[in-house]
Amino acid sequence: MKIFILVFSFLLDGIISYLLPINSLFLPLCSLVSLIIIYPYFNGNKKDYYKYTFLFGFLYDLIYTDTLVFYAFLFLFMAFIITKLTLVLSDNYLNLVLITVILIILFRFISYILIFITGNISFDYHILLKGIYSSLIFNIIYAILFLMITNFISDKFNIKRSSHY
Amino acid sequence: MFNKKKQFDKRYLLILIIVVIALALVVLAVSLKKDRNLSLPERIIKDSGITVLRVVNTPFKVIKNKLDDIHKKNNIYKKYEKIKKKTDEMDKVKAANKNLENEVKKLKDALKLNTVLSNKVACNATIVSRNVGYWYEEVTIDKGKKDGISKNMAVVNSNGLIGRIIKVSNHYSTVKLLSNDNMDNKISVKIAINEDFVYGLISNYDSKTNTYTVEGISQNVDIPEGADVVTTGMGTTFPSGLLIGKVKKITKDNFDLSKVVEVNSAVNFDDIDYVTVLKREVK
Repeated sequence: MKIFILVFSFLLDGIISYLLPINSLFLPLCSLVSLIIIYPYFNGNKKDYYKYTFLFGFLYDLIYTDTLVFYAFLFLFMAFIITKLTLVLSDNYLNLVLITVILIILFRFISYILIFITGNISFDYHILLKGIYSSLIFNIIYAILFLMITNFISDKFNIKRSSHY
Repeated sequence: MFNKKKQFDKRYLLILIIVVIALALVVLAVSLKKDRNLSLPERIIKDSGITVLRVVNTPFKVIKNKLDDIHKKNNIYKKYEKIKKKTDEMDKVKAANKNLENEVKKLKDALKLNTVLSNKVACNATIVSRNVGYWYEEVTIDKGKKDGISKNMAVVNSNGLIGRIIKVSNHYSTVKLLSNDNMDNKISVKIAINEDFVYGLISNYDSKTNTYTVEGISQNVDIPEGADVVTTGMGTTFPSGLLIGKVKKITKDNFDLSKVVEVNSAVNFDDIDYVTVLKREVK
């Protein structure tokens, strides 16, 4: 199930960014959202979770962005934040939206700052803000819908997971 | 004793953390470098990944093309009229072009020149994936090393120049679009005024208005609005004569010393499907 979720989101990222224009208001970050959704399937086994995340990020690096380990570490950090946030927040859809929003803001912010520090782009907070708000809408909808679907499937096939949203 | 050991550890921990952060930044800087050569395993994984993505994409692509077709049919008459006007002018241009071609050939023979700046060989490609990294404004095309593509080749579509190749794997390559607002390599352009050209440099791109800013144009030339802006072929990347856009507005720079020209981009960066990669022909 976890692998299905990851692969599906990974491919969806590619498909949607192919179909939508570059400057649209719906930027996909399905891979990031899928990290939130797979966490309960590890039943608290953080070590495995981090391993999956790192490998997943590494694939993202190689196939989509040609950056060697950048997204691998970024995803790992995001996974760390997810594990911390899920300790504090209870499992419901509102909190899912909250986690998604926090993650997207962090993700965009950190990646922008790091790319800026390494001298690849010039800093412009308008572009940063645009990157954040245009990723929010699509990914929140995706998170809610995808969670519903995966919950439905896992309930049907009795797939074990640590928490119910 | 225990306390002392703890302190000792803490100091080392601090150094360790700093070293790790520094190392991480170095690795990042290397891995994020735009014109890094892809290593063999990277190329293989990228090729297979994009191939899978391409297969998955196919049905969506068909649907998208159908929708585009329907959209295009709606304003077909307007386009017809526009094209008719253009074909009327075509014969004239063709004749002039042939004449010029002959002239260039003769002059080249006379001078025994093997290359001129505008010589180029074309290779058509389709876009297979775009802009997943978001900050970069990049697209991936379905031609790579095997098709003779290499780094820094110019990429155009039917409307004009769109960018250059920055990374090449065996079957695919990555194009950095001109709409990337950080232009580390300024592009040398010329603006056609009657028979003459004025030279300048593109300094940035504004995605809101889809315009470029051209700087470094001397104060005492009059530039008409709507004049064509094309590449000069100077520098290492682009062949000469590729259309960038048309002049939209002319302003002065902060010190009143030179003109700053806003150029409407000929390319709509939101809608790129088929591209052509140009390489400079060097014998």
